Amino acid sequence: MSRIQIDRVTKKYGKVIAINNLSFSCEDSELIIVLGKPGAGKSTLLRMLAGIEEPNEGQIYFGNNLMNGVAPEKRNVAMAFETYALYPHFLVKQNMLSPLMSPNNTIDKNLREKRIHEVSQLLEIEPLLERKPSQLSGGQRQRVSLARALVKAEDTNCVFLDEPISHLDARLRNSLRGELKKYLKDKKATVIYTTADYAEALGIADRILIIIDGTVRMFASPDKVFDEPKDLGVANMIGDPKINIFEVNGKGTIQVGDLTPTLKYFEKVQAKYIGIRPLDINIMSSKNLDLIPGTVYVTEPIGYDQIVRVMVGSKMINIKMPLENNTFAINQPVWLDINWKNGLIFDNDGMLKGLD
Amino acid sequence: MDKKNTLSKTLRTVGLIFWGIFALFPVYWIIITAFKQSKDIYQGPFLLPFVDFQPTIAAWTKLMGPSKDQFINALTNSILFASVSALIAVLLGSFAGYGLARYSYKYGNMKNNDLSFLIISQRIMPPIVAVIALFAIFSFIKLLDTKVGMILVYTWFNLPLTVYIITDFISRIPRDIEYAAAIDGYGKIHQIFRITLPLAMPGLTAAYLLAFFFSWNDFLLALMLTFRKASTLPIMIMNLSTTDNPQWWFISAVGIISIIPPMIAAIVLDHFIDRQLLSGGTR
Amino acid sequence: MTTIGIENVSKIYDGKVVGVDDISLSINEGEFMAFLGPSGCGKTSTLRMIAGLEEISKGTIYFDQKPINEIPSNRRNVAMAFENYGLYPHMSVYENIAYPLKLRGFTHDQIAKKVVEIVRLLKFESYLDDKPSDLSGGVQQRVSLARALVRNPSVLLLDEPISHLDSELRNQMRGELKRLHALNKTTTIYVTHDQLEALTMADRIAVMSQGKIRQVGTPKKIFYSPQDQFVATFVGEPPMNIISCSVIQNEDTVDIWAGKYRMILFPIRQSANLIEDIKNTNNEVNVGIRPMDFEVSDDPRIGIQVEVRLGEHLGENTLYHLGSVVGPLLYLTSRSNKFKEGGTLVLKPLKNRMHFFSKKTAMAIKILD
Repeated sequence: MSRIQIDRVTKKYGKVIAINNLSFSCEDSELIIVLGKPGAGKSTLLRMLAGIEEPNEGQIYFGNNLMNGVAPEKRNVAMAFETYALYPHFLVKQNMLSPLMSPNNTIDKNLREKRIHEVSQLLEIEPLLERKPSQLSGGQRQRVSLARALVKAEDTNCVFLDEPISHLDARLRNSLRGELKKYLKDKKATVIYTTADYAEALGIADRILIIIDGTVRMFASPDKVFDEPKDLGVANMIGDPKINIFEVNGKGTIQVGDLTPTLKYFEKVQAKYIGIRPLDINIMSSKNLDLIPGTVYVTEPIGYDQIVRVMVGSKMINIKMPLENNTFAINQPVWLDINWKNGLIFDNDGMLKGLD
Repeated sequence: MDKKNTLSKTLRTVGLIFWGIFALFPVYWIIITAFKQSKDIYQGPFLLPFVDFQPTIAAWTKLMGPSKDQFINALTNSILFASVSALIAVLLGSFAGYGLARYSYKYGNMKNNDLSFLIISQRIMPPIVAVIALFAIFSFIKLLDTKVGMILVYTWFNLPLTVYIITDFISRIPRDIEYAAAIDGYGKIHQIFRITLPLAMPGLTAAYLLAFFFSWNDFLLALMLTFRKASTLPIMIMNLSTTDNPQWWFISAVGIISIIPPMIAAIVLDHFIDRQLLSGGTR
Repeated sequence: MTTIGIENVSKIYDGKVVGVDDISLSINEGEFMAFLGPSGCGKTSTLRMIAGLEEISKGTIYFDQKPINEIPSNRRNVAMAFENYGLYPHMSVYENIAYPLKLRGFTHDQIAKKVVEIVRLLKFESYLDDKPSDLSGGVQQRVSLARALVRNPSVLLLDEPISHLDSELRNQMRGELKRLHALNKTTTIYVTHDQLEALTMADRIAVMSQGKIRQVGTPKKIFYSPQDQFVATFVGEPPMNIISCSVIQNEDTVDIWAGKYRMILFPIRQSANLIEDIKNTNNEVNVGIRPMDFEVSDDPRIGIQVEVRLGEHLGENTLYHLGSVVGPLLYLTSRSNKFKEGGTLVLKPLKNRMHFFSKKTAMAIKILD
């Protein structure tokens, strides 16, 4: 359990800058999720924190202790690798025992069995304990890797989880999210967890660190990230389907595909972009000249709701609405009623301006 | 459809049988020759024991009798040189292999690849080129016809091979597995003995066996650098073959014994060559 | 455009292990049929039998009413996109996609035209000269699809084609695949373990488990009227709550009790069917309620008391993990309804969204309401 601090850290691989002057700090026992697309630098960040890689510039602190140059075995951390990195010649149980049996270990011998039992129950891998990694499916291997990190979660300075549930079946992923959060909170572990799945981030995090191209774009609670995405890049990552971004030209006209509806509302507001959430658009199947015409690209029913994607000119607009009594066919002409008032306003630099 | 299957199956089996006979015939020949008398050999070829000729153990009694000392000397030398030189080559090869696979070196302009090449290139040159020089050097430092000398020579001879194989094997072990051990709290030494070495064992074993076989089968170096004391089986066989009337049955007996130790080594060590060892470790 | 008939088909491994257990199904011309189920349910084995990659142990498979059991893969005119892509590593993207056409003797120009068309459709034109090892998973997957589609096969078989893509790409590809199918109308079979994919893309879904088909129907039917508990809890995210209940018939009401709470009641007039169907169950049933089908009870006499263990932020909704006398429950509600962790509340189900299952057989009890 420790306060983690990263101060102006940069990491380069040859000419490629993976992490660019990044700073952030988190409190003891906080569950931080690092959200970013593949290649954004999440794994690199975690590996530097764990001591597997060293930053080219900048400092890393655990509490008041400078960690630069300190080998991983001396940092007292736990990690679930994105590549799993299981010991192929050990049984699953031995894999899980490994962190509990290292030299200089302070964990009570008698607690080992209890920890193994608790974690294997949580991740549903109890029947697999006597198997070797080669006898497991991909999803099972990922869970063992996660298990190995969790067994000493409560004793470490920090637990690093690198996309720990990304390769599990959809059902298991969804059900584990809540269970995992509960477990980590119970153990009061400080956790830095990476994912490319915004829903996972929203559901689990105390705070979300959003990384794009090796820099921090936003670091805030799930509520804040969802309600007030700091810039276009962040707004683009949150939500399924994605938020719809429209360009505002000159005085109060908005570019929607090839059309430019004039909206008096925007004459007052200085904006370059406006983001409309998929729920804030209504679809009419009958012609209405006040509304924006488009063609249905595809409809995706999901239980009680559906996602409808409509092409307006060359722009794809995402809409989420209830399924009942609203069926549309592909290529059907429709008219969109957009609730501009609920939109998020972004200025010329793509930064959020404040809601209206 | 079925007809086509059986026809191709039969053809395949027949082909394999022929090939099997072709491949194993020399071994069969040597074995039955060891039980023949001179007349069986010079009047031959006689293929089937008890049918074409009466087997006798004359060759073997000679081996255990008058030729015993010479034979035991050659046998023990062969075993000693092969097993020890292979072991040293693998030990040194492991150190070099771990270094080249895991660290980045820079000496002047030379980096890892250059260092590897430096070591492995020793074997590009056919040993015959070096043998005269070796003779002179060994003579000077009084290592000719000595056990120590031969072990040294075979180690040098095999080192490029072991370094090459072991470097490759270790580099195939995903680094993340070693990092995982570090994060679990294990220091470098533990990481190597708990993780790297066990996972590299198939490579180490394969390297050992190959080094053993190369040393065992070597003729040229033994010929040039030994006379009597450090003589090996190939030399003994050669000596026996270059008389006026080679006693083929006797030579065959020696030949059969020559096959056995490498075979035993391969069978015993095969257990360590688990080709699937790394499976399951990473995605 | 082919119809597929699967008649009493089984797949038995090593003479003992039954992978597919006597299934029958007919797939219409141009239909997008999803085989949905957890790993090991037999969906991939069935697909592979249709492709000709596995022998059919028992039963017959028909293409356009003609049995194809004995016809080898390469003559069935099926195209398959594999879960792990199966791209030819030594060929460029263009060559990979062109290969099936080359084999069938198309001319250079014809091939070029078809390849460019499909690549434009799947949006990866810039990668034509690259080798598979240079590509990201998302592009590899699209190459694999393009290669299968370029031939205009009679049957298109897709084996979890998007399961290895990151979530953003998966979300995007669902719509693209559906639209693709709408445009070329090839009879398609899509194997997946992800119910979201099946619901959004398929014309019909065959839900499978342990080698058997549990239910076949449109996504709407499967979601609104699951035939058994397995289908009910497998389809729909977050999964349906299954609550052990007793049905007590009174003078003017039929009450559904969950533990010590009267969770909901139906006026006797509206419950004739309910009583009839539950008659044989000894008044003990499993009630299925989806997490979004609860509402907060304003009537103190009705509803089940729950305690809030955890709130999971799910965008415009919050998923509450609840504890109750009948076990853990999930409740999905709009973000504007905020409940504190550790607090309690009283919930009741939406009457028209309740599902009743027999405790003995786990089959849905038909309620016409």
